[in-house]
Amino acid sequence: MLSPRGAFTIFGGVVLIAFGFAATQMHIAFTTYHALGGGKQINIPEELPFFLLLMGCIMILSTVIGIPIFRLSADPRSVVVTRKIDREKVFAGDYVFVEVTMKNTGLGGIDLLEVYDAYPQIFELALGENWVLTKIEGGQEVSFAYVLRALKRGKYLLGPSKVIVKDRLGLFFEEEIKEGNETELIVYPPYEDIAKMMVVAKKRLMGRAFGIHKTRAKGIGSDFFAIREYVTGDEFRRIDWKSFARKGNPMVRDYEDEKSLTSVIFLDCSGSMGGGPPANSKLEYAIRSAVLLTHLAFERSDPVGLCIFSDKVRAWVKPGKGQRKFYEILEALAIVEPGGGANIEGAMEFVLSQVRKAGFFMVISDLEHANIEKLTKSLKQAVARNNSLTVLAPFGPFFEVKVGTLSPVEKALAEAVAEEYFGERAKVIKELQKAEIETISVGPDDILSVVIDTWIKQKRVSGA
Amino acid sequence: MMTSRGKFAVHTLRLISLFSFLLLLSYLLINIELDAFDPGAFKNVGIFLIAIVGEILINLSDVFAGLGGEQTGDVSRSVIRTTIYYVLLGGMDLSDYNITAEQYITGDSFPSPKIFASSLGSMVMLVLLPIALLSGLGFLRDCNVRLSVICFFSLTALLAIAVAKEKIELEYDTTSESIGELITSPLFFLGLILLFYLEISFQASYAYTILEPNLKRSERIRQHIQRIKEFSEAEEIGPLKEEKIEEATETAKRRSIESWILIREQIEERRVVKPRESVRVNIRLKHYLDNLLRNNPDAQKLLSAETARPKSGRILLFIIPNFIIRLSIVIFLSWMVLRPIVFLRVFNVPDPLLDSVESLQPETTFLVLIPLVLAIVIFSGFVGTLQERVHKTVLKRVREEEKAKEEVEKETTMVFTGPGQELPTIETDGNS
Repeated sequence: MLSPRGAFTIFGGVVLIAFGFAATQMHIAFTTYHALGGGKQINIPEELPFFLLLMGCIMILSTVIGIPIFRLSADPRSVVVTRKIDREKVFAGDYVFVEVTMKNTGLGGIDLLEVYDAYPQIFELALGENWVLTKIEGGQEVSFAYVLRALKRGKYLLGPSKVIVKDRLGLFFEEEIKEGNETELIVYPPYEDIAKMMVVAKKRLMGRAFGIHKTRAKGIGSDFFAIREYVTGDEFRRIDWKSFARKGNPMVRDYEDEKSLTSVIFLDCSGSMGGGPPANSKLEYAIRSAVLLTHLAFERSDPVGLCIFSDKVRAWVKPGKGQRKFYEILEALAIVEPGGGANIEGAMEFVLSQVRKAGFFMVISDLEHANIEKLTKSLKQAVARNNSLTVLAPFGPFFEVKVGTLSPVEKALAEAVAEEYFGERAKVIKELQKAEIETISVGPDDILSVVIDTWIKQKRVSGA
Repeated sequence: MMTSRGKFAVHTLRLISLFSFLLLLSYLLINIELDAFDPGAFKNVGIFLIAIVGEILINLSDVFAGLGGEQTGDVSRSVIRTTIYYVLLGGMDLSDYNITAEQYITGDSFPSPKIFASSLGSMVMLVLLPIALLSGLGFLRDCNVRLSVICFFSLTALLAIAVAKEKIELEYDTTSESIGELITSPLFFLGLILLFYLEISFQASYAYTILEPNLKRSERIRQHIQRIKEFSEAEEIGPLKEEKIEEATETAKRRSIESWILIREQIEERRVVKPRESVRVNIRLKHYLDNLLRNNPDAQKLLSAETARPKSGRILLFIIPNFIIRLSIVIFLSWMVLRPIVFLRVFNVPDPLLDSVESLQPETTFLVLIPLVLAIVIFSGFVGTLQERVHKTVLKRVREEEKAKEEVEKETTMVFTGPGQELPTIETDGNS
């Protein structure tokens, strides 16, 4: 309650009083000594003790009289702090406008109010300040705001706020941390990859860049395909009357057949996937890949499902399409944290029990500590159910080591470790290839392009 | 323009504190006899200290000689003293200490401790005066309370030494019971000016603390927003040139430390972050800010915390009456403490005790000071308890109001916009 300044003032007062009394005692002692014939009289003026006493009393009293006034007016509990954010869900790299409002519910004004609004360290303060120093009257409301940049996906809490009230002279203070006033914010994985794609699409380069073309097969869709002559059995409602009038023969309109490819993404979030720098770990790239694949599929109105697993299924989003499903998937991806082992077989079994329609399964896993036999068996089971399957296997050393930063010795060691990893990986790939399961080892540089290629390939193969 | 207007209260209080400081200083310099600031005091203190060191050396040599079974005689002591006198003191005149060189060398007489104490007092005064002056003027620059406290204690110590040396006449009647006489007595009046200075410096520091950071913040955020608004990709591409860094450093040198730190950080950031990445982030921020300012007209005010900035004139209006009341209370309570007889009479303390010489002793102040301080502290506790009760009631009411408000908002949302939540939109920065 007593601030260092207040304590110093009181201490100063006590010291001055002590000096005052010391001067009095010295005066008495010298006078007595002189009276007893002990040498020359040393005179200590009578005013000195009184002056020191006066100053000491003044300092103590001027501090103490502030206590009741402070207690009456300054109570941090009377300050209600609320926080408002412009959106509760953002993409990594996006900005959030945080508005903090303080209301003094007390009757008296607070001379000096300091409010510090905490935010997770992973966020970056882009604009404004997350604190305020102000004076607030009883019943008054004041606000301030700041802009944060969300750097990493996840579920975060903004807050709590710390409220410090001080008196005008800075002699006293009270502080309180407003526990429970936190605001939840979900940060989705970054959409930069999607944004890049969208820009390219806008520039009409999509076809050339990625080779995405519609697989045209006539059928009963809604997109026009061609006009042909009528043959027996064609529906009357498909006759094109204008062409009939022009040519003299009955002509019918054909439409493109609309097939959809149901994709399910298996995302391994086991502990080993967390290897590498936090922002560029295998898991982060796997999540970015999942976001990209989801977006690609939704652009073509194909349903996508998501199964996040470690040693058990951590999240399951049923296949579906539309914007809401997209955000459902993003939300599931936002809160994934690496941990536990990897049970691909269990996840596959679970998904096969949930999804009846055949589709495309993309497993994103580093395949570390995988039981090859069990894994092959379960993946074969998926293929047997007429699903096409691709395993995207992020290769650990590519994510975990930045060669440029290593010394020659470290570089040699890293190469040795990578060699060992590579041997193991080759064995797993060989086994899976025997079972005709496509497995692609990927690094941070090619994972996204491999995702796009794989998906396009699947679209072509499935004729969707 | 806004900055100087916003600092009106700070400037006014600075002026008042300057006035009180100058008043105090001039009062002291006029009333303290000038010979109290004798520059020769340094020499006298030096002589005494050297003499003391010499005596310690002599005694040590006695001890060591004794350990070796030898005795040092008066001659050897005289030799040591002679060496000290000629080598360390340079054979100077010791008349200021009322002794001659012969008396010192032969050990017949030693520099008087009383003269040493007096010289030490003068020396301390000579040191304290510039400290008080510099700290008092330094406080005016950035209202740093530490400087005003240093100034206050320096002046108090200076005054106390002057009183002890009897170089200033401060009449003080210990028998008078009148509050008027107490206030008008030079000793109390001087104490009051000292308190006035300390209080006003605290108040100025308060005004500075509450206004200055807010003003700087407003200005900083305004510039920041302006920079973001004016940001264009073409200007930022490519590494920052050395001359630009030098130019920024030069600008920073002319400004305050804060701006220096800000500019330095900017330079460092551009050096560390890849230019392309920084451009991309800035463009994104620019787009976000454009949207924000378009959709929320108060955003800029909120960001610069202008809405939370107290008004300068209003602060002054609060400070001055409060200051007068505080000062009056302190004077009254000081009178009660320094003239305890009046207070004790109310409690029917026996007359022989009140009329005794003891009642005029400084110790009697404790009879009132301690109970008074305790009473204030207990009263504060009582006020705190009351405040807590009021707070609980008010908080309950506020929560009920908020709950009711939330329910109304919930109903409104369901009727007009449906139960769905707002989803973020994907934007492209046009730069990827």
